[in-house]
Amino acid sequence: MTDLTQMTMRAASEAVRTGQVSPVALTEAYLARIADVDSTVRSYILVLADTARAAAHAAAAEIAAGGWRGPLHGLPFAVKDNYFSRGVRTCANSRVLMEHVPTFDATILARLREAGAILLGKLNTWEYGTSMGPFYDDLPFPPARNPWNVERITGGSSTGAGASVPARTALFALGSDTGGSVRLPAAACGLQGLKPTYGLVSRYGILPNCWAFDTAGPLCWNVWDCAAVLQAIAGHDASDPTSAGEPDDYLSNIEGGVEGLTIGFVVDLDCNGAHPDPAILTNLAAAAAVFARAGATIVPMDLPAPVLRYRDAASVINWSESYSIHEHDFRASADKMGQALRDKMMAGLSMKASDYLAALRERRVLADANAAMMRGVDLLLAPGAFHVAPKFADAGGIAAYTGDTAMTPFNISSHPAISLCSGFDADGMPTNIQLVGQWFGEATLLRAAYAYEQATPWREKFPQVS
Amino acid sequence: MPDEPIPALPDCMSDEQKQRYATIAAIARATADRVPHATNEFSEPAHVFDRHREAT
Repeated sequence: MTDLTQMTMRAASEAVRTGQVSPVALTEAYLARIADVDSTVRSYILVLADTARAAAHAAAAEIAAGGWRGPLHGLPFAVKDNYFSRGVRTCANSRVLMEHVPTFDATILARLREAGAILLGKLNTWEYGTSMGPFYDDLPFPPARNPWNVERITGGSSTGAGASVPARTALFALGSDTGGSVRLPAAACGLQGLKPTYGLVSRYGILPNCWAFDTAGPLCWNVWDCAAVLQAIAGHDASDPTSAGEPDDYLSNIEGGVEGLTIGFVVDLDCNGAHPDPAILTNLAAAAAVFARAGATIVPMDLPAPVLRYRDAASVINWSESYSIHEHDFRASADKMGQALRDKMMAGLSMKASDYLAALRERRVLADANAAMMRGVDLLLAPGAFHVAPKFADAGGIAAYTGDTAMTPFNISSHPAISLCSGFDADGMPTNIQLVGQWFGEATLLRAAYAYEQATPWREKFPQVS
Repeated sequence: MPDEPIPALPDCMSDEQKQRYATIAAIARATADRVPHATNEFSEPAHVFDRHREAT
């Protein structure tokens, strides 16, 4: 293999461990790939070539001396540009933060560095991780483009994370998910994207969007990759007041299969009259059949409430908290903000304290209903994004893409959820399914996701970006 | 929102930007008004969601 960026993460990890591939060569391959294609896909806001090379040399020396740290040692990755990076500008694609240079690393980034991974750079994002539906091309860095078709959006808000892995400009990527911002770009770009249980992964040092829902997780080509990254980043952090629990072992039983598991299967969703694309529904039904053939029991289920009800509560909470977080910046620098963020600030400004508290009370009702639903099953299989990624020129399609999903219900209830590539539509665009686990049940969730991935051919097809 | 005053918007916003407030606020208010406001008084807010900690 002449191009090291074509290796799977698992193969690259093993090759680095055994000395067959040097972290230096691997990092250079990714930097060359970035130079070749990133002017097209725009996955990065900032490339850190010099520090990546230095870290790669250090990793190579350490491994050669018998100091292999674990599966991520020497592997090149990138983070969304809302992750604080010590001494490196973190702007979240906002003119408001163009001079912002943090003095510390986000806990996740620190843990990945500690695991020996090589930071390639900071990834593109919607401003502060914000979308209000419509797309406005008014941010300091132009939008990331979908590697499967560069005329189409990546989903968001972790846009660069979605673009980078299929474009092979990063071996794995980290995003953040408030209402679907890991799973939505994963769905759009044919990746596996994991939103962990709220509290399992520290958010400390990630620019907040909405405290009540913010989570962070990996976007990867394979499920094994997600498990390896989660293993490195999960666990208690005293700096994050929501941090709960200690990590499980996500890798040792990942090949354990789904025999004996009960999977609730949600097809009929009431999403304000919106319905998933036919290709997404077809591939969702096929996924249920895959799980059944692998030994799982499939049980038809309904969500306990219409999706719009979850979205309404989430929107009010998100607008209110986001306004509180960014009020100073809005007052001082609203003219520097893009229209989507400015609109969100004005939505927050129009909320009353009683609206916010009503939405938080509604959240508890809905979360308890979800918990009751989940008590009857091991996992839930449901649509994630209802559509494939639309074209930039399709304003209505973009609004529908961000609005028509079944992702928010699991931000409301904090359950872990993973978006998995489920095939392709007639235009060659990736379709997706969503698999939901029990609170802190990521080991079982990833085991089932791995079983699905192994039973399907979707990881054998790659986008062609030139 | 004809019966509610428009709050003071930042001076740095252009008039064109400020004019969007009425539209945005109307959409936001409609959303907030769909959320039940008269729930059981014993139903407490779940801010930072905590029931998942029961699983740990």
